[in-house]
Amino acid sequence: MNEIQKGGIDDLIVIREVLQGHTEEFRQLVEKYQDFIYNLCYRTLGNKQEAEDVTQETFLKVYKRLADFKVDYKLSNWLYTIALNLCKNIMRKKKILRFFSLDHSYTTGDGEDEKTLDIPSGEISIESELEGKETQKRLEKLINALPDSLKTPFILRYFQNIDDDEIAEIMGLSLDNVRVRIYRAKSCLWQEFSK
Amino acid sequence: MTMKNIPLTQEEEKTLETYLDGEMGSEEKINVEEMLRNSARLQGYLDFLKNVKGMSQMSAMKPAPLDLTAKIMTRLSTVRATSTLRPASLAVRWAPLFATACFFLAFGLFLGKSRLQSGTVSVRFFLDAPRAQTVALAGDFTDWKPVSLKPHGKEWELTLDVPHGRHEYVFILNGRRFVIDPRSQDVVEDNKGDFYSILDTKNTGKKINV
Repeated sequence: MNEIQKGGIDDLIVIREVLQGHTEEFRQLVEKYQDFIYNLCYRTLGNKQEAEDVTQETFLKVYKRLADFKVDYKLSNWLYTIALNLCKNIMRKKKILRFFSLDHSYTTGDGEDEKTLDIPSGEISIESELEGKETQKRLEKLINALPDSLKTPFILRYFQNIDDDEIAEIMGLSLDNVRVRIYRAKSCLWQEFSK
Repeated sequence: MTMKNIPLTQEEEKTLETYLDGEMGSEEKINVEEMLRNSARLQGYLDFLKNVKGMSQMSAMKPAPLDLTAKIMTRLSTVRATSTLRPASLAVRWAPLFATACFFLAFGLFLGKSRLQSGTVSVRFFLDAPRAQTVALAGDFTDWKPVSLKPHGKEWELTLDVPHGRHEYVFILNGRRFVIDPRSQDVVEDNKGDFYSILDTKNTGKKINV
């Protein structure tokens, strides 16, 4: 069986255990994937508390629907899909609230969010290896200003290291569509970055 | 927009990304380096791409808060456990099967009588894999030869006569990916680290259609 692709089989073993009633086994899945999900939510929402809340909700949803798990779908992709849908709900809610708010200082002139990621202090020491703190902050801001349709595949590709075909699966898009969106995201970023 | 930041074509962009990832042959690499020397636009984009990749590598993983696992597990205890949720499809299918079996038993005409006497039992296997192109099953009761399952709605199914006893089996998706049956009675790991589902016909579990 050496030539066989074994990806995801460990997850299935755990899922089977949970379905058999060994609820505590679900902890293994939480520990395995929580950093990935939290990271994606944090990158998408730019807020630690919201990222934590969405991560919790994501695992709860998966737990409740575990009996519906499709073996031809990677568990990690299922988690990403659910997390992104929850993030979308939050962002939609925020846009509605902002529409009715009198505080317009939250948006830039072109109507896009001007969110700045709350970068943990540990990362600042690492970023000295890059062009500099300002470069990274500037890129962070530009990424956050991207439309969600471009930002999400860009984050999945460059911050979650997910292959294009898996991004297509997670977002329910064709492979070509994913590639075009990532290309457009990079083009937009570059044009702004090189100004 | 200046000449310097005119958007790259998808092909140009892909070439530079391949170059940066070190996935380029030596001859092609020389050509790209020549292009880079002659184009401030391409060099500018390459620098930008380095920044993006550098940033993503350095700050890719933001660890979740340390107490997040505990919080999730605590919340799980307040919701209905999945294990108690018998899939609706199973319940729906088994109700008429059970009724039919009772009917035949009552008249002494149990459908699988002859098979039971010959030491086999009819087992219905099914797998929820709506996007799979093909699904097969291999087990000790098929001499490990793959037997195809047939699509049935979103599921795949197969009914086989299996000798009484404890058996190992595995599903094969698209001819290459082996997966256990997530609803199997038990699993076993062999000395190579491969997992197999267990079917024990003495344990009249939910999958056995006698």
